[in-house]
Amino acid sequence: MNTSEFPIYSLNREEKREHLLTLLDRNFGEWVQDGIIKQTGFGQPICWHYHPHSWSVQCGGMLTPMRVFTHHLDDALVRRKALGPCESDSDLRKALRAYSGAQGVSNFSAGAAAALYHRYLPSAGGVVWDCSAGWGGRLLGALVSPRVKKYVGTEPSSLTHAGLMEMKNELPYLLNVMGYPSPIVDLYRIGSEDFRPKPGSLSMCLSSPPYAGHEKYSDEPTQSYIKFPTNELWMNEYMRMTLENCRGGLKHDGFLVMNLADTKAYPTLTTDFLALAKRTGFKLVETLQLALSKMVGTDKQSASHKLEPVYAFRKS
Amino acid sequence: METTVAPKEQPMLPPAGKADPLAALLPASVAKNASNMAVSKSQTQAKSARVYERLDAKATKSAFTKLDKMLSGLASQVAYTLKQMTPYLAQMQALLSQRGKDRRNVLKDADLPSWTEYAREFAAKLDCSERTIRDHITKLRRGGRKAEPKSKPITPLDRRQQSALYKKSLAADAVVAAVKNGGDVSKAVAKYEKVTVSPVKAPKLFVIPNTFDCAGCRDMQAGIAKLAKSHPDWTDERLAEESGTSLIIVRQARVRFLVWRAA
Repeated sequence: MNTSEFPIYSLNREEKREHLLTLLDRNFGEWVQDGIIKQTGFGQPICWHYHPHSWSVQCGGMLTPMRVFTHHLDDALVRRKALGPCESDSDLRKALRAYSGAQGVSNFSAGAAAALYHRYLPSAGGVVWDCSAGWGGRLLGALVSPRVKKYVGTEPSSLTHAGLMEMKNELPYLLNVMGYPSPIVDLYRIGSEDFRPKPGSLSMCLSSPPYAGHEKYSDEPTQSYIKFPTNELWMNEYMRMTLENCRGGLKHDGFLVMNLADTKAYPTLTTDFLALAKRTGFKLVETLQLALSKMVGTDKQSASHKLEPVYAFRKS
Repeated sequence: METTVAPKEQPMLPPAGKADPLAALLPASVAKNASNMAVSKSQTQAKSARVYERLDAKATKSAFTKLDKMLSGLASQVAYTLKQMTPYLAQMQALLSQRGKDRRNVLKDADLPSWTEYAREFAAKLDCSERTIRDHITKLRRGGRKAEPKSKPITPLDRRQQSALYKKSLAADAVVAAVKNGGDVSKAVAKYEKVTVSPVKAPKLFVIPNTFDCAGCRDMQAGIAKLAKSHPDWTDERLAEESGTSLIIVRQARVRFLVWRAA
């Protein structure tokens, strides 16, 4: 472990291939059991490889892992060593993420995304729009899911969009070399509130929007938390326009699937969202629970996963 | 390459690719589902692997025995080319590949060889390399296309230019030899001048692996970070171009060596 360098993920082609193999040929139909979507970190290092800037993104006003590295490294290492060995880059990353007052951004699990594609897309396959493509978890899920024929992603942040573009340029090719087909991938550097998909072209919209201003991906003016600075504006303008665009693009039997959770700064986010979705013409058909990682420092055997709701709607 | 083994009798199997081999090789309960699944070649491959994943140690052992018996039969008794055996080898690979902890445990309980071991042994039977078998499987899954694209040549010179360069270097050697030995230098120089090498644009850091293969190793990222520090006005795009790598590797270098700045 070298503490003079930030412990980024940097994978070569073989390592990417190995991580892809953890997701390929899975029975994604079995990943949702009793309404809970299984938690796995399969493929996550691939996504983080393409988004090194994610370490400097602030969550809920807390310290970023990069800030901990540059200002509190010694203390973070002492605390981590009290919990167990701290020898590898992986341990160092854990130390930075778990430091008191710090929080790293989270990525949607590629396996969970593939499970949702499996559940809501027709067996013949379909087109998916990911309204906030983010760190690429849902893109990676689409690449390994046999049911996704085309993935359309929108992402306004230029750095994140560049990372997604490299994912698009490299991973489908790598999958083909490994003998697997890959879907068509279309990426747009635009906010979901401004993107109008072709009417009736989508089988599913799946996303996990940025929970109002909880995660500040960049300070570009296209960010929803800057364009719509209050919770009310964010919900009644940004989310309303996004949902209307989803409704316009979805086929009559298409699904809108959204992962959202209340935050300290917006404690009624999910309630407001459900009401808005109803007003926009969506009917809630199912609520699943997305299992997230267990907290560092808890007893891994006995601790239960933190759960976040995933709402599935149909056009009504 | 197609490897042929000595003919002895007609094959008992339907022609490869026409019938779903899963139906014959899997336990009855799963074979029924598998036979309903076949859509395209690639989908069948993925689905068959999924079907195998559900098998317990006993069923895995049984599927292995059936597949192995058939493949051994084809290899030693039947007029079959490797190309014709490939669908069944692909099935065997799907069965023996160790994806995930659960699957590893099942294969361990069933006391089966790994796919690598099996492929090596089978290749020896056919007197071909393990790589040949893998290439055939990959080709099958890619619908007959080549497994890997050809890598780009490291030199930007074509054959004629390379030949001229080689001749020019020989002529230069002759000039040096003439000077050293006190021979007829003018004749050697005339010969040297006769060979023309047309100027080409020198490639930028062409020996660096192409952007796709490049992992952005520590040394390379250290170099990029140094370049970023010495040229603070350069954009990430310019740094990527100058160092012959991708934008993401440049950004990784910036984060790793703490020369990050928002674009």
